[in-house]
Amino acid sequence: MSWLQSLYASTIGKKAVMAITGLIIFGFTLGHMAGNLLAFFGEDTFNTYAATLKGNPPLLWGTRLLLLTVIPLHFLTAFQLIKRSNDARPATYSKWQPQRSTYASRTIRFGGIYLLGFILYHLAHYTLFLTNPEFGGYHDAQGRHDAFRMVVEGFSNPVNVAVYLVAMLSLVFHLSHGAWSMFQSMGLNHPKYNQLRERAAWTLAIVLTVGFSSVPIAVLTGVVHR
Amino acid sequence: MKITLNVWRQSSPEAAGSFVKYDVDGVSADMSMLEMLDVLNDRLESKGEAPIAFDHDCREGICGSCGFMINGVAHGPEKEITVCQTHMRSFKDGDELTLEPWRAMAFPVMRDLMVDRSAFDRIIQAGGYVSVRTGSAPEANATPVMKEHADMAFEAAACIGCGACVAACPNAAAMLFTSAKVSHLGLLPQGEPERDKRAIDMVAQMDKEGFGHCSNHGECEAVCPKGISVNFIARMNRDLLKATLRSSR
Amino acid sequence: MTLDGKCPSGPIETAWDRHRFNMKLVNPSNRRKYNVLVVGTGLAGAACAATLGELGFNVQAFCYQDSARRAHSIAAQGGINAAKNYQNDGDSVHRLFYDTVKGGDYRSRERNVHRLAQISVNIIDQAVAQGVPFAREYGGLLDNRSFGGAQVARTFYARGQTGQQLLLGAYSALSRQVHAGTVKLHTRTEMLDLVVIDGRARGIITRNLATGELESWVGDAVVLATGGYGNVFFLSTNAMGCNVTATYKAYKKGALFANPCYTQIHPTCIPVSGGYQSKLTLMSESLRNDGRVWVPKSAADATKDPSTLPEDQRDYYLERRYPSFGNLVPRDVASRNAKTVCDEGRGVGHEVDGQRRAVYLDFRDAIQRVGKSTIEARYGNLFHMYTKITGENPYESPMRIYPAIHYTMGGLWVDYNLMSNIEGLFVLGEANFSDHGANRLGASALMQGLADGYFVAPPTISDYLARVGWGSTVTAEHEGFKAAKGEANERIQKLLSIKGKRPVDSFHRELGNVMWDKCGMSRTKEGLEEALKRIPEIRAEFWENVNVPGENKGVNQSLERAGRVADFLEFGELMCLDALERAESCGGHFREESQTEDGEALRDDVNYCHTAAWEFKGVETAPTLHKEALTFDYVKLTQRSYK
Repeated sequence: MSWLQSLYASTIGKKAVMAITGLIIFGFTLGHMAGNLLAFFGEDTFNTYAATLKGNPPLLWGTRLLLLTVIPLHFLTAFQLIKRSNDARPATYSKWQPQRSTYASRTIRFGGIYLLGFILYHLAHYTLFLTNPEFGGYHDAQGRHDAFRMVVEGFSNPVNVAVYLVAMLSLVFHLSHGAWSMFQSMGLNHPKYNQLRERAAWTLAIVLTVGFSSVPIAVLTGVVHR
Repeated sequence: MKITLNVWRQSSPEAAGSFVKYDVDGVSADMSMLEMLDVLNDRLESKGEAPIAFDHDCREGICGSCGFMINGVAHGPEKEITVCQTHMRSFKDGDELTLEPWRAMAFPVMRDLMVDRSAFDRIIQAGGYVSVRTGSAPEANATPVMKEHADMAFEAAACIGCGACVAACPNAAAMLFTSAKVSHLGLLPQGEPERDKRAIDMVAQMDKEGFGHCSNHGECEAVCPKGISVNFIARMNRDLLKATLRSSR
Repeated sequence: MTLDGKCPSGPIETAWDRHRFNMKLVNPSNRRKYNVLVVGTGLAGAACAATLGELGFNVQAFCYQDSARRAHSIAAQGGINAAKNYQNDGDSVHRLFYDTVKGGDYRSRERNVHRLAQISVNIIDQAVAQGVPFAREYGGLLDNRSFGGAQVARTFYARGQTGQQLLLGAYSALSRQVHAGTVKLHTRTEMLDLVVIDGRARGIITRNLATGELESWVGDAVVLATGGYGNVFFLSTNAMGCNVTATYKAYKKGALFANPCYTQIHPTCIPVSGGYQSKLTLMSESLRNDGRVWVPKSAADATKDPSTLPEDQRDYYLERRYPSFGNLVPRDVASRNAKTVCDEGRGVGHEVDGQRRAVYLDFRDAIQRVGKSTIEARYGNLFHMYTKITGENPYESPMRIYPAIHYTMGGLWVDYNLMSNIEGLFVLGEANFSDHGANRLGASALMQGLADGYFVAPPTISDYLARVGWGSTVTAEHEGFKAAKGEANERIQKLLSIKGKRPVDSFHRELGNVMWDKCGMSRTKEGLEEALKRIPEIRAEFWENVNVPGENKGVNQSLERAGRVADFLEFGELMCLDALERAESCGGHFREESQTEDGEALRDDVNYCHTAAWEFKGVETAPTLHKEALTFDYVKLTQRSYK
């Protein structure tokens, strides 16, 4: 077995994969959020941003390929770990009282599954236009794809917004434990900075969630409109 | 006081087990949990019934023999002690306590509250030592050790191998136990030459025994009778990753 | 039988080195042809098994616990002595030797003790190299403290868990050899008998505590490192499983039992709180470095809140009686004085069986002097333990302490090579009688266990094996094994078939009460004679009325305990007999008939300057006494004085 294989075979190696893939997904998500916030600057800015991405295939497809590798790997590894965990305790306790674990840490796997479903829906919604085929045909005055209109129409539907907001809520929990866990799994700890890790994890989780939620809420409340 | 116990009874490793209810009266607040079980066992023995089997030895919280779940918490409600040091003053008259053995694939139940923890021994045998033959040691003060490191090494070395960390972990992971030994020796200059090999070999054995992974819940630290910190887990993760990257194997 | 200690003659300083040179060696390629059985995996057993494994011998190691790491050596708190003189305070090998002989009240072999002092320095080197995290100073070098009345700071320690750390060191060395395949470890396995064939120890019979199976093990040498017999008192600081079975069975097979009456009482234990008590918890006597021992001057104040008692109502009796040593007098002196003040009715705390048996250990002044945080740094874990057990806070109100049985200096008789009078039977650590005389100094148990295990037994066992050679025809099919196994099985069946009315523990408790009352901190002729009458009665009832439920299959903890208690019920008699025979007071053995005007122990060197070694003659027959005279060439016999 090569060292890489044996590392992946170990529980610690798998957790490192979770951490690294998680970090990449997190990095992408941060960029994605920044892009979303451009919606507050109006149609032109937003569509320019969308067109720039589209007009740069190496960046676009590079990112897409990376995510197409990393996201499945994150989930595959998670499922393998969950199976391992279930195998490690075939008989469960009749009574078990958590002492230190948090709601976030105990629900991270369920949040993850919800987020997986959400990502698929999100792709079908805004990238592949499977749910709303008409989105693909929107063009703005300059003939660019009117991503802004798509976003505004998409988020005018309260059900849609609810799905997104629930996803963002699970993201805050997923990340608050996941980001801290990432430091721990990669062995990044130091008594002096350990408290900082937890605060940073929560801060980043909240920033992401607030950032992402702001656009659908702004659309629904009419702050952002066409 | 009167205490009602719900005890897991299982006559052999193969047998199916179940909970059996016992009312124990005349319990004094100054009794330890195990003394209360002694009293119950004496009563059972007098009637010719099989006493409740549980591992125990020193009864002062250092040998690591004892341990079971009390109402879903490894070693019971008090922090940083084992069941043998848990006294009945932690409970009230009329309380109902569920006593259940450690549950993990790697810790098969032998009888009642007694489990087989030999997996821990095999993890240590895989590398939890400094390879120094008797007689080959250099003069003790030849190698100064930074006090801070020596103290931290001690904190890791304080592990008593009771298995509560595994019992409490939602994944039945042995990460706290293994990391305590990896860190204890890894923090000292004496352990440095074998540091990489030790981390790789001990983690491999830990995985082979069928323990789960670490989800960073921190349950292990919360129930550890010696208060060993999950920081040592991070340390072991770092050691293992570094060792894998730089070792020639 | 003449007892030959086989001590090398000539200057004591070079005796061990010369002796080692005269030993025969086993060629490295021949070592794997020898099987050595090591029973017990505490400091002595684990260290010996690991070292023999490193040398290349085939070792089988046995322990009754579920892991070798759990032996009761783990509970030693205070520290380990070594004559390193790192503190530059005048320590030396000779001083440690001198202190140990004197502390043992001149009832140990000078040459054994000198070797122990010499080896002490190697132990520290070895332990540090293994990664034992001893306390260090900011400069990175090892720290020491003064311990148990020593006037030099020669004790190395790892907070209050020195025994644990040293045992884990030995356990790690053992684990390394298990991994290497030289040591095969048998946990949850209890030795039930020793097999002696043609005068040589050739094997053991064990019971697998998980399955109940009896097994025979053949060896070229047998090592017993099975600890002490303090649990004969039922209540002691020993672990619940500590027992005399291995050494007692060896005694029944012809090994001499030496000085069984030498037991040590530890002065700083948590007092008994009720009749259900299963064991006593010791707190390191390092507490006496800062704590002041006192009781109220008047018995009438015994129930008063101690913090309300003004200074002039308190009797700091140790400081008063022993101005130069004060609270740091040796264990036996501190213990007896506690008993005296409690017998005067000045004891404090709970009343159990109509008497208050506790004295105060007060940190009030120390906290005022050095601050609470310093006291917490020094004794935090002990205070924590005290609070957990008693529910009281020793930072606010004084601790209550009382002496308890803690260590047994007696054990199987061994010569300088640690071999008993049975060829090929080696006895190590607390299980032998060798180095502590009538009283053991604090922080010396760890030293002796490791000295025996790492440094003394491996060369002497090699020497023995080289002399007897390999290739014996003895197998487990030999009559000797079959007979021993048959007997062991018969006894188990007998225990299981009685099905009487009383649980095992009730007999153990009853025996313990007799031992504590009559053969405890102070002993009298009348009391011992009474005990010698009472013990056979308890034993007889045991064999008629004990109830051992279940069968000899799988885990049966009642059966395990029954076997151990049955041996204690015979052994207790031997102890009382030895205590009766030794009509002097010495060290931990205090005969009320033999004391000075001040109530101090009074030795009788004319009649008792010997080791008493007993030979088994039958359960209902009196054993034969053999005496090994003790000579003192280097340490002058004097009356101990700690005034």
